[in-house]
Amino acid sequence: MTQRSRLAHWIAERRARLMTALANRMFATDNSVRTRLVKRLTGVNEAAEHVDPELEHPEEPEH
Amino acid sequence: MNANAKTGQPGTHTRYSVCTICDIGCQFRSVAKDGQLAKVVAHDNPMLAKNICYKGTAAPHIHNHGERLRKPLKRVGERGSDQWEEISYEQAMDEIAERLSGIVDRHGPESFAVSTSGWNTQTTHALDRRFMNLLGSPNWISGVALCAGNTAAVNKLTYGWFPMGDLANTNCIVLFGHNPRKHSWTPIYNAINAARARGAKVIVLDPRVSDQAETADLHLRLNAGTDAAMCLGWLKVIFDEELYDKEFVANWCTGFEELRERVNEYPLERVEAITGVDRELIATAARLYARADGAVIPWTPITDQQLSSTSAIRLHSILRAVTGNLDVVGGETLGGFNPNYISESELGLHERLPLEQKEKQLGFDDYPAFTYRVAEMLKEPCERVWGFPYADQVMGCHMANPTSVFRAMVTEEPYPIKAFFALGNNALLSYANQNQIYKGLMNQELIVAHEIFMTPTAMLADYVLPGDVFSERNHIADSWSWTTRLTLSQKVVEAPPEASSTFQFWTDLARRFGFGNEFPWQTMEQILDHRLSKSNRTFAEFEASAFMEAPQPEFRKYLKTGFATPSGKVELKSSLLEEMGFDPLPYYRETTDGSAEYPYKVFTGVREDPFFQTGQRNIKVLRDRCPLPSLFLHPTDAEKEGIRDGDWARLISRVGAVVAQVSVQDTMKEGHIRVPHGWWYPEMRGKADLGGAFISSDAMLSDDDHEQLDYEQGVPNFKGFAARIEKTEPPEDLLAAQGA
Repeated sequence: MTQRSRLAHWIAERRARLMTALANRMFATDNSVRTRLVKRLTGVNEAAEHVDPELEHPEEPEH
Repeated sequence: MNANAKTGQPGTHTRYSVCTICDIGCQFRSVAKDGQLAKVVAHDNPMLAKNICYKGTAAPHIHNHGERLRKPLKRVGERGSDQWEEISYEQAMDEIAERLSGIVDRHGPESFAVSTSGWNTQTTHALDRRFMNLLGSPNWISGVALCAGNTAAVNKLTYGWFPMGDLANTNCIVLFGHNPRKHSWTPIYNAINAARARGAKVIVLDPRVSDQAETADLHLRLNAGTDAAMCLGWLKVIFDEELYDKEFVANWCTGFEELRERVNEYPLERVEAITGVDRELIATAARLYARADGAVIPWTPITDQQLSSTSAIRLHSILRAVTGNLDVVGGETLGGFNPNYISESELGLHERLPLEQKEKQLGFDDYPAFTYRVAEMLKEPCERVWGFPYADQVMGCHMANPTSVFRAMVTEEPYPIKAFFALGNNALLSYANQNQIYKGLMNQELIVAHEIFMTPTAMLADYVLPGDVFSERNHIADSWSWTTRLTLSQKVVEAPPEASSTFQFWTDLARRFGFGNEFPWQTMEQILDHRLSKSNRTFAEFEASAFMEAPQPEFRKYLKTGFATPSGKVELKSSLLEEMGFDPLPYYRETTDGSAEYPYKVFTGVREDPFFQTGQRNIKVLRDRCPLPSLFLHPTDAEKEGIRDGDWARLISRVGAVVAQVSVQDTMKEGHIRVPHGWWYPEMRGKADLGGAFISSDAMLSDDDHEQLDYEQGVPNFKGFAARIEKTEPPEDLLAAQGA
C-alpha cells in the first residue's frame, strides 16, 4: 500500500512540483533565458524527429 | 523549436494541433498548403513526438474529403428518405429557431433533448448546456453516459472528484479490460510502456488475450461483466491480510465495518466461481496491487458498461482509497478545477436551471447516479472543497439517462420529447436498443444534426448543418476538468464558408431566442479570452507562450479541505446512494439472460484501431485497414457451431441480431463472443436503410429493459449479455456495394 512517512510524501511532492515547473518550460514556446536554459538542460532544445512507416497513408485523394 | 516555423517546404505553414479524431487528444503539428490541410506530423517536442497514431495522420483525408458536408441541408422527402435541398446557414438557423420555439410553446422546454459527443465537437465550451439551462431543458445526453462521463459521476459518490492516475510516477497499473495500443489511446499506451520500462508492474483483467495482456505481469481472464465480483475478491484479500492503510481508513473513511461485512460475503471460492479465475491468481494480483508504493487503476470503458457498473466503478474508487493511493504521488490525483481557466461547469450556467426543471430530467427518479439529482446533493460539498457548486467533469455528471430519453420519445411518458439535436453524435448507433431509438427519432417534430459527414442519424434529420474540424479553429482543451492541463490547438486553414463550429451554432441559436446578453462572444477567440481571464491572459498571449501548461500540483488536499462528499470523508458506504434508496454498499449482480438457447456471453462496444465510435468508415485509407467488422470466436466454439474463419454469421440476442464476418481466434475466452462497436456502411447509402445501419451495429443487440440496466445509473449491459450464433450467407447487397 502507499503508506509513506511525512518526509517521504514531502520529498515525492516537491519532486513532482519541480517536474511540473520544468515541464511548463519544456512546453513553452517563448524565447526567454529561463525557457532556453531548461530546454537545453533537459535535452528538448532540438526538434524531435518521429518517423514511423505505420503512420503513413497512400497519397491518393478521397473520392 | 516552434510549430510556426516553416517545415522546409515552400508555401507551407505549420501549427500545433490537438487531434479530435478520437477522445484521447494527441498533440501534433498540422501542415497547411494552398489553403488545405496537407499533412499531419508528429510533435516537435521529444516528450510528445510518439503520441500520434494513423487515425491522426489520416486527418487530411478526413478534413479534405469529397463527401464532407459543406452546405446546410433541409429535408424535402419523408423522414429518413435522405432527400435534401441546400439552403443558407442563416435560413437554416431561422427556421430551426422558429420550429424549436413552437415545440417549446406546445410541449414545454423539457421536450427538447440534445445528444452530443464532446470528443468530436470540442468547441462547445458548454454553450449547449448554457442554452438549454436558459431555455429550461434538462435533457442533455451524450455517449459519455456509457464511457468516462458516468465513471466521473460515480467516482464523485465516493470521494467527490474523478481522479487521474499518475502514470509518470506509479509502480503498478491495473487495466480492467482497458487495452491501450499503439494506434488507440496512444499517449496512455506510451505512458504504460514508459512506466513498465522503469519497473512498474502491469495487471490486466480481460477475458481475451489482449495486446496489453500479452505483456502483462499478471493476466486474469475473468468472465465478461464480473469486474465487481473480482474487486470484492481483491478487497477480501486486502482486508484479511491487513494490506490496507489503517490510518487513512480510520481518519478519512466512513462505513468501513459495513463494507467489510459485505466483502465477507465474497470469499475467494465464490469469486472464483463467478469470475472463472483461479483463487490463487486473484489473491496474487490483489497482493501485488495492494503492496505497491503508488498504484493506479486507470479509467476503463469496460467497467462503464456492465450490469453492476456503479458498484464496479465504486469498487475501483474504494480500492484506491483503502490502499492509500488517493491524491498522492504515483497514485490517483484529485486535481480540482484549473485555477487559470474558466471551466465548462461554470460556463454551463447550471445554477440558472430551476429546480423544478431539474427534477423533470429523465432518469432523475429512476436512474439518478449521473443526473442533476446527485449534482444537487453534492452542491454544498463541491463548493466547499472545489470552490464552485457544480463539477460537470467529463461532461458526465449532470446528464439525463439516454434510455429514458429515447423511451420518452416513443411512449411520450412521462412527457413527450419532440425536438432532438445531435451534434457530432451518431445517436442512432451510439446507445442501447437501436430499434427503440429509431422509433423515437421517427416520432420527432424536429431533428437537427450538426456533422462533418452524413450519418444514419443525420439522414433522419430535418436539417443537417456542416460542422468544422480541428484544423479550422483555435481552441484550448482542458479535458473537461479531468486533468488540470491546458493544451493549445491552432487554426491552420479556413473552414468551408457555410460550416459552423458548435460554438457558433449555439451562439446563433441563443441570440434568436433572446439570450444574446448571455452569449456576448462574437468569435471563438473571444470566448477563449473570457475563459483565460482568470489568469489575465488572452488567447493570443497564451498561443504565443506555450502549447501546453499545467498549474503546480497539490497533493493530499483533503488534509485541509476534507473530501467533497456530504461527510467530508471517503464514503465507502455511500450516504448519497442510501438517501436515494439504493444499496449503499457495492455488490455484484449476476446476469439472468443466459440459457441453453442463448449460451454465449457477448461483449460489445469494442474499439478497432482505424475508427472512433461510429466514424471513419468512409475514409478509404482507414477502412482499407479494416474493411469489415469481425465477430471474434474461440476455435472450440467455432467448431461446435460449424463456423470457419471468414464465414459470415448471425449473432442473435434477445432483442436483436447483427450479421458480420467471423474471425476465429485462440486469444478469445471460450464461451465469449466479441463484437466491434459502431458499424454501418457509408457505401450502402441509397442502397440500404440508412446506410446499412441495421446490419452490423452492436446497438441492435443490447437490451434496455430495466433488469438489463445497471440499477443506479441505468446504463446498459454491454459486457456479458447472452446470445447465440449461427452461420449465415454473406449479405450480397453489402458485398456488391463494396465491389466484391
